[in-house]
Amino acid sequence: MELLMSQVINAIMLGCTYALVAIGFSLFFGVLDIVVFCAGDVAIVGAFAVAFLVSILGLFVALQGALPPMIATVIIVFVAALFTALLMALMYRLVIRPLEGRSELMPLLSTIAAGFALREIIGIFYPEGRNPQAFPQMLPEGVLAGNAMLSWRNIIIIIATLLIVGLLYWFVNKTKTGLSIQAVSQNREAAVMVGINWRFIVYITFIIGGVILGVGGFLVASYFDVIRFDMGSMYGLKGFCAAVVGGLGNVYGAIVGGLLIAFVEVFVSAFVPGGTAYAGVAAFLMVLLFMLFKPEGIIGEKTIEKV
Amino acid sequence: MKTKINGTNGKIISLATSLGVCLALYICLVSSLTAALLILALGLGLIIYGERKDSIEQVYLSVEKNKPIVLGIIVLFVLVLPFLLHKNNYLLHVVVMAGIYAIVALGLNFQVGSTGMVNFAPAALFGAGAYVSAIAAVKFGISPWLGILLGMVGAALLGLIFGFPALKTRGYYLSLVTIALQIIFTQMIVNTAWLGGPNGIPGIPPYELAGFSFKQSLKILGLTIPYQINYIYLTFIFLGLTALAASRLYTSRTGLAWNAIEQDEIVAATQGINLTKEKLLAFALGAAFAGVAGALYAHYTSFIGYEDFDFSKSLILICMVLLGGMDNVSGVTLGAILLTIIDEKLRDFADYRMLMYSVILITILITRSQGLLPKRTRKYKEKSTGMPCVGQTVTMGGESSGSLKN
Amino acid sequence: MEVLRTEALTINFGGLKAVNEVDFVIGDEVVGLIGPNGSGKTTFLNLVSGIYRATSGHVHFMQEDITDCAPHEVRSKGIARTFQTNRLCLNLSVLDNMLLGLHSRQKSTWWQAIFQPSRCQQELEDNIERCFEVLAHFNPELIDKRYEPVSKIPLIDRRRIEIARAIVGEPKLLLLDEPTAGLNTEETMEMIDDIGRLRESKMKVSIIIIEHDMAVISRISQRVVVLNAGRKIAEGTFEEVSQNEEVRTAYLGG
Repeated sequence: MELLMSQVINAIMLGCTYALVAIGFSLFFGVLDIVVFCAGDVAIVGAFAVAFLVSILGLFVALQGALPPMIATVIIVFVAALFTALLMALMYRLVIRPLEGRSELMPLLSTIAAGFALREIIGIFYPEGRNPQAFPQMLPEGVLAGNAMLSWRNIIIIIATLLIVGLLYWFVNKTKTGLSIQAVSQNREAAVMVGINWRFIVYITFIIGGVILGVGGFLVASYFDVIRFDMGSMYGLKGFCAAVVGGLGNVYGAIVGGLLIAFVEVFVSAFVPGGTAYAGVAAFLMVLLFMLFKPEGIIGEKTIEKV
Repeated sequence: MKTKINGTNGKIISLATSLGVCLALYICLVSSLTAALLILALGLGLIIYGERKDSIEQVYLSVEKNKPIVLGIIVLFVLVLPFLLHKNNYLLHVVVMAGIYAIVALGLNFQVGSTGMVNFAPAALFGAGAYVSAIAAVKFGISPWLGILLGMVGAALLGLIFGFPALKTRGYYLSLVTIALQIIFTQMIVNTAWLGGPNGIPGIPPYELAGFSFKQSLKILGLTIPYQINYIYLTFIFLGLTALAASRLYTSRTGLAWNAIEQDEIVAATQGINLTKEKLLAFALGAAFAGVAGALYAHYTSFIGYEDFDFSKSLILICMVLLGGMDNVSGVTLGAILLTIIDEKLRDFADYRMLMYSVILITILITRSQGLLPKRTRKYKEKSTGMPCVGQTVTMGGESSGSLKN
Repeated sequence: MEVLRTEALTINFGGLKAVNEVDFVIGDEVVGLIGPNGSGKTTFLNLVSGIYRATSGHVHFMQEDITDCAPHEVRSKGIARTFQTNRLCLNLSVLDNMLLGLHSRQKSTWWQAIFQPSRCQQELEDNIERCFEVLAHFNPELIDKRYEPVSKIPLIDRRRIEIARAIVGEPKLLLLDEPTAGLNTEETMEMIDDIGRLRESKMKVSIIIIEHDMAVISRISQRVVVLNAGRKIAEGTFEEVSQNEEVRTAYLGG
């Protein structure tokens, strides 16, 4: 029972990190109908940005003198997320926009290549970039109610994800810009006709997506405690799988998809004998089965709210 | 070069074109990365210039008409090449790899170029051929020659399995499925001890012909040429055969059906094309090509490991098809050879290799996404060279229909 | 002689019966299929050509039940069709589009393509001749343009090629979905002539034609079937149908 509970919490945490990158995929797919494959790498750039600010610039220690650690963490993550937001906008400008109107394979390949480039840039230019880096621990130690599974780190990862989803929900449904994003997602021509600046909305979406990815990178790094320059490819791929399983273009489906993939992975490696090696295989097999028998995803077509 | 000879006859044009291409490839091979990229840019510039002035059509036409000359030059070039490079077995190795990847790319083109099904797992199919042939030789002592056949069949069967999702999914979903299959393939190999696991399979025997091992260097005319020469000839014989098969398929009913599926599946089906059959065929045949190449690769390098057949290799293979020009047999072959050369040149930059690779790829995608030699409409050999003119009896279902327009 | 017969053909799109218990018969004739927008005309053609699967009811073609046949099987049995929005393969040449129409009549396999090219070449040459014959019927200039991609061909010729592609395989039944859509008056008249002359030739093809232009329908069809909201509401000669009260209310939106 104890084991089961801890695995459930483990899966939820992992699922949260997958969900954030899956939301990124879904947002971009919503406005442009293309898959931006470098999302996972952008997220990991975010994690490295945090590591850079903390481990190399010593910002966390500096801020801690003046501010409570929680606020300092938020500020640092925010700076990193701004960086990934800019990066995402740059990605759109450099590798996606020039390929508009070409076959859908083109932006897919160009963003895959961009992901490779990001990975390599980290590997080359970050100090000791090719080696795994210890991720600075900024989340508070300790547990809640004496329960080892309810560590503050776990709780914060889950709460941060919920907070982001909540903020996104508010933004998309309650602000004018957010509603414009929805309009562009549903019908670009109509949105342009009612006077929405389509290009501006795309940039806004990439910036918001970039922020979410940056936070996602921070959370996934906190979850593993270690970051590697090339972990973005797997993280991105799992996120893409989550987005598709949930229904590409659907933000809430992305969360369900992320959780589902995380549960399969965690449970196969925990409860199937010799399963650790095959956890990834099991997750991808599940994606395959989904593609074959329910290609529209868990929350596909039927939902009106395609963001 | 091409435009100036416009007025003279086609034989000279085709001669000049084929010599020019061979020379350019040779210079790419022996010179530095910068020079290779410059030549690529120059070649592309010439092609674009030709397209603007429409003179490229002349070149295509004369090459088409004088195929024997062009093919003769190319065969001669391949025959002579090992002698030109006999002091440098690394460059000879690059040539062998170029031939092997060209075979895989030709097969991949059936799916990506002809049928429009983006297959992100060509490396897995390539690997299937390599592993089948290697295991057959190492564990069961089966002759590598027979291994080629086994590798081909094994890969084709895996191709059928990989093709099955293509019946149900399209576009991004198919991309994701094939990416998943590619990763499952890699992980299964890493986790299966019988297949060598993470350590790979060492000691794969080379080909032998009447007691002559292909790992022996060749002594001709007093020259000692590294053993790679044997593999260059072997690989390019297979490349020639597969290119012939691919171009025959291209002009056949099958190739046309694939194109129709790429354009519009519903229209294709209403023309009587069996989508299931044709899609699976594109996967199985393409995989068979990859399987042959994989078998050659295994017995050439004598060691294979999972990292030779991973996702990034798949991407490189897709780039070859894309760089050369989708659904254009000569284009795909050229693209594969060029990219193999560039890829090997990039090894000098060790750390920067993948970064430069991605930058080159993005540049190609943005500046010329249709590839070096873009897809063209098919030209057929017709019964009568003269067209049936308007006044001629034109029949519908055998009967003269008299009232013709105009 | 009965060519095609549907019995209580029905398709359900999530509660909406787009085609509702339609009984339809066509012999050696041209039948006009008319009705207001959304009355289920195109859906009916999609059902007959196998693109949609019927919820209930049957389709018989030459005394054979083809209700559950896939589109390519339907075509092989001898039903060809065109589409409302001209759907040629734009990347492919005029000749390639025509050859596609002969796909189901060709015998050569991929195996023969690789290993017996001379045999395939023989078949190909015959097929090209056949394509020229049909193209000449519509517009001989298209033969000169045979290697041009369809994307460079003007609209009326594209429509012609699409019909030519459908007819080249000598189907017994031709389904035309608004063949004159997007054409001007003069071009429309040319198109009607082209279609009319199809019937004069030796090849006895029956035609079901969907058309909004009543002038076209009255000129070309021997019989008219009217659909409204998925149901067949009238059938007969054009004059009979145009007198029918129910048809008038349907068109006036009553």
